[in-house]
Amino acid sequence: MKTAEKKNPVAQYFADIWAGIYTTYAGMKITIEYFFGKKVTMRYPEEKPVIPPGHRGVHVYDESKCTGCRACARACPVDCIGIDLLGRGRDVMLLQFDIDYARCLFCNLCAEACPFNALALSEKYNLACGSRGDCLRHFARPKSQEEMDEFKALLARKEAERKEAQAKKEAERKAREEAERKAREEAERNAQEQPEQ
Amino acid sequence: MNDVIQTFHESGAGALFPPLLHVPSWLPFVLAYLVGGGIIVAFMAIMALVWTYGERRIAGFIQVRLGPNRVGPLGILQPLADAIKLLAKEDIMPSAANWSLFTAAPILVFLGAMLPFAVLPFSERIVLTNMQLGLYFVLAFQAIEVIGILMAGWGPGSKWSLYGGMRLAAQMLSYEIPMGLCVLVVIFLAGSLNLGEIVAWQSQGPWILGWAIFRSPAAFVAFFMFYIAGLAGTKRAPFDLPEAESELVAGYHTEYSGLRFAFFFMSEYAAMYVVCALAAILFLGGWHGPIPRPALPENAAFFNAWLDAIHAQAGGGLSVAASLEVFAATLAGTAFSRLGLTIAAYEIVGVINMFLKAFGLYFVMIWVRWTLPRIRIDQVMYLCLKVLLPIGLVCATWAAIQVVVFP
Repeated sequence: MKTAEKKNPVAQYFADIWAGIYTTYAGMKITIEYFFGKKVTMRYPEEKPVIPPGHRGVHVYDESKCTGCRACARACPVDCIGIDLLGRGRDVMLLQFDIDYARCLFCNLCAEACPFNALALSEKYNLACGSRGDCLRHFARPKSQEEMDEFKALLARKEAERKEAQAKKEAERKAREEAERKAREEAERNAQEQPEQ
Repeated sequence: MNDVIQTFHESGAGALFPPLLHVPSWLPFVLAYLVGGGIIVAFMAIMALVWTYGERRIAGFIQVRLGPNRVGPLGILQPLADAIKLLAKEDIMPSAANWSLFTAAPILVFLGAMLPFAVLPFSERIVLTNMQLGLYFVLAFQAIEVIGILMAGWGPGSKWSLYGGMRLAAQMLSYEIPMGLCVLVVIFLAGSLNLGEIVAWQSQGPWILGWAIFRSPAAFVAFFMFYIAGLAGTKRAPFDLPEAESELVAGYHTEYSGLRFAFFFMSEYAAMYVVCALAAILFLGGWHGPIPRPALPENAAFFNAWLDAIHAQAGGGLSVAASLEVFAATLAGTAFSRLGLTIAAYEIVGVINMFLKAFGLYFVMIWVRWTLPRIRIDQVMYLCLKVLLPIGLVCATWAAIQVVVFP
């Protein structure tokens, strides 16, 4: 068992001085090694960091695959995807596909929800923005007025075709009903005539 | 210096404009010393900028980062940006402040930091006043700073300032004693208080063995103790408890802002340069490099040679144009003569040597600062009174015996 030894005070005095000199030497040896060693700072805009695969950064969006089904928007836990469509059902034109990066938490649920693989998260990370409006990124290709007019005309044409087809069907149905009714009336009349015989 | 001014006034300015010869004789001296003082203050301002950059860069390297590297190439314009920011700051005086003390303190501290430069040589002939009591003057006028710091501590009426001021005054005054003892070692060995003569004494010897630290074991120990006392006197870490950021905000300059703070800042760096330069002059051979230089001919002063040339050429009764021609011709002739060029080369090499030594010691200051943690006030006093003081006495006694026994 080691107990605190009572040292000679003179010896203790010189031991203290030696300890002070030695510890200073030891510490300064360590710091000078760091001084000449490699630095950990990365000069960011000049040198880029290596992003590990699987990093979830800014979305990549393929408009040609997107059908505007809003599955991603429904899956989003923070409601950061805004979609605006022209038309309904399958005949839609995508006017807006916005992601608000002030809200987005890069959870990848939107990409998982997408049935057409139109949305994925890339390895891009530089997302700094100066204002709240800048954080809102527009992914859809901006559509010109002519395009929209053309699409509206297409929609109208399809609508007209659909209505025409419907009207034709209706007319057919009416004609068929009419024929049936006539047939039934004929039958009834025949039935009334039968007992007289 | 005085004969230089005399010569310049009589043969230079007097030749350009003869009525100047009739102005009172003290006027050219006052003007010359004002210009010299202005050059030194400007030099110190630039030095403070360079040293802050050096400090931040070296601190960064020791902490495995890069330090300021954005403003200008490698960040060398960073101190300039800091200085502009400092000058643009609002000058605030606390409402509880004592106006006169608050205003006078930065000036007095700055004065105390700048006065040693009156006798501190940059090289053999680049010195404002080659005073016989130069070393004594430096040590004496450094102590003026203590008064200014006590005023800065009391003036703003803030508790942080008061604690910082009292701590620094206690620390500076106590460390004057071991510092004086270490200086005494060199005074004994060199037998002079004149800084030029002390350096001249260190030039006798092969290579660097002529330097004071290799001439006597007492001087070798005294060098390290002088440096430690200098660290404490300029409140560098690990003795930075007068401005201990973690407890006292900033110590005695807590309440100062803008240009007043800049004065404290500059005087701190000036005091650091004085300590480094003094350690280099007293112990490390001053402006002598490690390689011995060829000796100059006897009495080889550039201005003496020039003076002789003027006296030889200028007879009585020359016109203004003629005397100007003689002045310029002799100046150019002497400056481009073999002797003139040799002297100029010696002075330039001397200044470079001096700066290299001072910067080396300054680098160690920063290195120590980022290595050792701050020590307590009782440890500061223990180190001063129980370690440095007795060892300093032993060293001084050794030096005295050495001078007597081995002359």
